[in-house]
Amino acid sequence: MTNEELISSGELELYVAGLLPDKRNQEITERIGQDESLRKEVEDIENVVMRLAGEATTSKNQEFSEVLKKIVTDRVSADTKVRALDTGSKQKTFPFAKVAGWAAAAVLLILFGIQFQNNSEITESLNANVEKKEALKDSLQKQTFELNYNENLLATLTSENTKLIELAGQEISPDSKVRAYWNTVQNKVIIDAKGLPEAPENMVYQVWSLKLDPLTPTGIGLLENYNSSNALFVLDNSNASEAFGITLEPAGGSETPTLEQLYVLGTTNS
Amino acid sequence: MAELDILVKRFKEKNVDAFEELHKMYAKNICGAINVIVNDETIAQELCQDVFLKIWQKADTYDSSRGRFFTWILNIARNKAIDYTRSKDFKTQKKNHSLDLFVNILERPEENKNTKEYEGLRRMIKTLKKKCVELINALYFKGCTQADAAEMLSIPLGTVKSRNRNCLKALRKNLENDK
Repeated sequence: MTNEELISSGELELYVAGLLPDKRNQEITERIGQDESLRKEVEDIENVVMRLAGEATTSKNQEFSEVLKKIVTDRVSADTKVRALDTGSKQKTFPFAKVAGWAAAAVLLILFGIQFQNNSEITESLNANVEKKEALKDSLQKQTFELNYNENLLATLTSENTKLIELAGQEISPDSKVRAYWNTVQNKVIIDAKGLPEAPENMVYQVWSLKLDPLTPTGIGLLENYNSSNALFVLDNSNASEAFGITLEPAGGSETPTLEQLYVLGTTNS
Repeated sequence: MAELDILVKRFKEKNVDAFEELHKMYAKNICGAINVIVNDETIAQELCQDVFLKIWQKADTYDSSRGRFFTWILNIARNKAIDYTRSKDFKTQKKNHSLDLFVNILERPEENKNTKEYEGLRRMIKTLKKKCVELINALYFKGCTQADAAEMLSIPLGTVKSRNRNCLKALRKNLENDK
């Protein structure tokens, strides 16, 4: 079944309703994972059902704190039940009513203590979770940002408007090799610099856009903190570049390139 | 991995903050889905909290290969609401009242004509055919199987799937026009 056939079959609507057999659910989940158009279609169906459901209440705010209270109450109640059952079985096996009374009182006291402790632990745990909330949000936002960043990077790299330019090693470093991906619509250059040696202390690689006749270099960015695990750089470039070069410059970069320190060079029409 | 997938993964690991985010995303919809069945905002709120308690307790049982996260919680919510409508309390309270929000809106438009209550819902379904509203209600909110829905609405089983698609398409169109 093609994607179009699956979409028009009405099965995706039943998938969102949870009305398909398990096996079919799994097959569709797998296909959605592999195909963006199917995923989008399912999300659209889900959105319309969610919207419909969301309009079916006049309540504006659903308090999460009420759910938390229920979780705590439920936990406390479950603990109490378990302990009450334990207490009951112990009493049955004890023959002397008077002592059993004291024992029960002692058990209740201990239970009370444990319960108090338990409540304190739960409260502490909840407080700790509240404190962690901001950290999670930051982490989630960071992860989402990184994912989006990588997705954008990939989209730029694979775009038909992106040109690959190989920058070859020059006299000072013949083995160096750098790839530049220039997207002429987005005016971005992605530099894959892992073929460069690490920059010495207080020095930095600087990327230049070059017009060749007459030779006019324009600095378009620095490869700050370049190392083997930080080798991809995205730079803005709206110049009509005829070549790109990378030189080693003092920290902070230079106004004009130090040509004796030209590490790699490549023309855009090569 | 999409943001939702990350949240759900953390939720399955019993991360309270992820749970709070999911609650923020879905609580209104889930409360609404429950209200469709019980047609009582106060009870719907209470049941909604119970549903979120339940999904917290059952977090580790959600299996993303078997369906959407929303589908999973919607299923838990409607089961909870349907159980409640079978209780004695509910039957006693509601004996003189229409049991279903959609039915109420469809069949008693004069009741809410001058109020803004459920205005968005009315706007969404007003151009839909009654049979569409009934079918969507049956499949998404009442938890009917295709066969149940076919029998309840006296339509051939074979047309449930295609009619449901057409009805949801009409609903999607309404939403787009409403933007």
